[in-house]
Amino acid sequence: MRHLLRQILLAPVGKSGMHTSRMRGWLFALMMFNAVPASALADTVNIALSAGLTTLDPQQATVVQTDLSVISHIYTPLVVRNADLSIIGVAATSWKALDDRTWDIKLRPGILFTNGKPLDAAVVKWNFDHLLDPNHKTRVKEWYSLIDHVDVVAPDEVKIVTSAPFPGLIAQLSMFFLMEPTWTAAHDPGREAMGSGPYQLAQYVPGERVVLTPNPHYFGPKAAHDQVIFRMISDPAVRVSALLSGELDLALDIPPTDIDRINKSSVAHAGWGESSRAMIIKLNSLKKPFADNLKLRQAMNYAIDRQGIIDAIYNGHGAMSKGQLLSPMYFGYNDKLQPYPYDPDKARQLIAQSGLPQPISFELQVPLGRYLLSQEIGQIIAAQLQDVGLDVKIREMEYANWSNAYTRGDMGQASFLGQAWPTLDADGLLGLYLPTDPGAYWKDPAFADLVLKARSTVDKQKRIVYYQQATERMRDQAPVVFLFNQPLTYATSNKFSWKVRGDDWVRVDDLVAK
Amino acid sequence: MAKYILSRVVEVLIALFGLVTIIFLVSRMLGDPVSLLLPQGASAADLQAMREQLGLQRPLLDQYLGFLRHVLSGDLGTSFFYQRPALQVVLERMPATLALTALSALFGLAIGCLAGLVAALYRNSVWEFLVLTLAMLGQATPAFWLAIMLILLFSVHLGWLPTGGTGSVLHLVMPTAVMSIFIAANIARLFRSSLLEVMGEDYVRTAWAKGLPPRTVISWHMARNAVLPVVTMSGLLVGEMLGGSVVVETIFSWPGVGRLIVEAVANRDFPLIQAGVAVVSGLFLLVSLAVDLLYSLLDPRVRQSP
Repeated sequence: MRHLLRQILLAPVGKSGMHTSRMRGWLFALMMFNAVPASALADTVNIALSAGLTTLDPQQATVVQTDLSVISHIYTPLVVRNADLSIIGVAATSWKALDDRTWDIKLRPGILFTNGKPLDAAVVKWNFDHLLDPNHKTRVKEWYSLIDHVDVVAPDEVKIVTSAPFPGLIAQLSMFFLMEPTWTAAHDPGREAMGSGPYQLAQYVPGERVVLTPNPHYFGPKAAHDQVIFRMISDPAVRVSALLSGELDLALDIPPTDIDRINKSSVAHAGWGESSRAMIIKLNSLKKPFADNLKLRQAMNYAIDRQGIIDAIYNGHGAMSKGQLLSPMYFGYNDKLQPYPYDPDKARQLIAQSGLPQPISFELQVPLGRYLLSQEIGQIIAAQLQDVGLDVKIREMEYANWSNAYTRGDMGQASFLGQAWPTLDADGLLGLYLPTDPGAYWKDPAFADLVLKARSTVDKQKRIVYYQQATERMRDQAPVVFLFNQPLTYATSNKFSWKVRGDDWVRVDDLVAK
Repeated sequence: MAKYILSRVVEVLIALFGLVTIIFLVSRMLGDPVSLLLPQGASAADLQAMREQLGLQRPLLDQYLGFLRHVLSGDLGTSFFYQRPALQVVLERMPATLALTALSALFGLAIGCLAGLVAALYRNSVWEFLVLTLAMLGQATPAFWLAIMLILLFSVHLGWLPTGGTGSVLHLVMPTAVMSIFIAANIARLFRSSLLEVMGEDYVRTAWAKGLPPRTVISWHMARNAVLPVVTMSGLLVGEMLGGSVVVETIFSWPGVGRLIVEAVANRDFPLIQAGVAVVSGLFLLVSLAVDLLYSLLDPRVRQSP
């Protein structure tokens, strides 16, 4: 009976739903939605997005977990980052650096957009020209600002010339999606989409969902599902409910307290994965008491029991920081670096040696709503710092307010925050500490020199050496308290398993049918 | 009558102007949207360039005058985040909000009036007690709690209803229920006390004494007079729902305007906040105008008063 009721009321609306009763017709007219059934088709995958989409335009999208993830199903990039975090070619078959400033990229022949137009070297060039066009305002321009120009060498070969060495280029290109020039000129790519990827856009209800269906002309392997629905569900409790009611196949950012409950259910399972987001306490090295006081900054690093926090707050999940922002998934990770041990006595000693009048008091800013359980972590950290004799006051701030001050260079004395870089290249994450960055709060010429040297060559071995020196320098100078990597929580229906990935990409191909 | 309508319309326009001005000023206090628009790691020069592109470096008065000029020509600006006309983004979400509001108002008013009538007619009985208790509960229960409980019961446990989204009649059931319960509770209590007041009036006693059939007395003499405060109240409630259904829209992933405005506030998307609030308050003022006009139809004294 229940199923019958569900079937009748949830039946697809549209051509097949024309014969529904007048009452239903009226209601649908009232809602004015061209609805697609939520779960009526045989092979539909439902994925929850934790926030709404802002755009479908590949050149305006900056958020990986939402906008770019959806876009990556519809558009083809030159290269893509797989779930195992390796970079593989998609529209590009091979790439190599001809010199420090020139990259040669070979293209796969025969890729067609769904409107029948080919994706060739001229189209690739047009995409870069479009992005770099000074009259075309885009938000992602900054990521590619080192690109000087792109040349067509042959229909299946382009040359990218940069104004300075750009070793992170290939990793960055995994976020660059190719549009079709004539279509783009005639349409609004923010709301419509037409690409050459494995899926095509079937429906977009702003604020609610995106429906994708397979692209029959896709050059790669046939899409595994008849329909992929991304649903925007911002409330974590509702994501859990939707999962438990069988409406979802994948949801991220599951509240840790719900994980056991989900695992006890017969419909879904939940878990933890490593992420690339380093949680730290940023010490403002430009403000008292941390300015010009290395001993105090190091004392902070000795004073915090990281493993204790991981056990208490994350149920033992999340990796301890190895004395650097980078985790093993980044290019440039320094596996020789030793983390600061938990040593409160040493911390007290260093504080006594710091030469500052006791007790040393400062404010710890804790932004709310952005990082997993930040309020609780802030309180534990403050308590542990008080244990070694520091006078810490917690100041909880709404995230937008906090980030406002932060990006303006007005951060307080210390802040709890997380940092990650989507290309998983040390250049991005360490570059946030260059003196030119308004969010660096640390001016260290030695460190800056090493990062800039690493940036000026595409020789991988040389870069690794520079990054080892840079990370070492940063550990010793302690502009931050290195804490741990925020774990990522997720849940999937029992029909699938999810290849956990440390970057933020949400891709249907990572869902593996059981 | 025409003069009355005209004066009300002018009042509405003045109110709308004041409101839009306040929103303009308040939204500027939220802080700098540029930090949220650009990816992390953007240089100070990029941030400044973006500010200039959005016109945020200009003096506040300058921005305000420019804003007013645009509003008068029907242009509410381009949403920073969606990079599309803000008004377009808001209007796109309007049908969802209107559908939810209209349906909830319909059910809420019907149930509320009926319950209020029952409570008043069966004074000091189990019925009155029941109606008052339920109404009290309905008013005191937070919408988000009720919504989550309904989801747990009907979606997770029973599997009858979808947890959220749009697309079928079933998707409407829970959001409408949560919102109409709130309306019904308010209306039931108001209508009951209003009816009780009217019941003691001389003309009602006279009507009973004349031996008129109960139906006539109740509907013509009692309800018609008791309904006046209900009309006012329902105007306020409907207006409140137009923009204030944020909780319900968020929990049920309903693509409405309330949630859009709240997200715009979080993103400091000034043009979108302005457009959203202008549209919602415009509708609110229209509803209140309609209520006033309805009022004057129901109660001729309103028309005659200066």
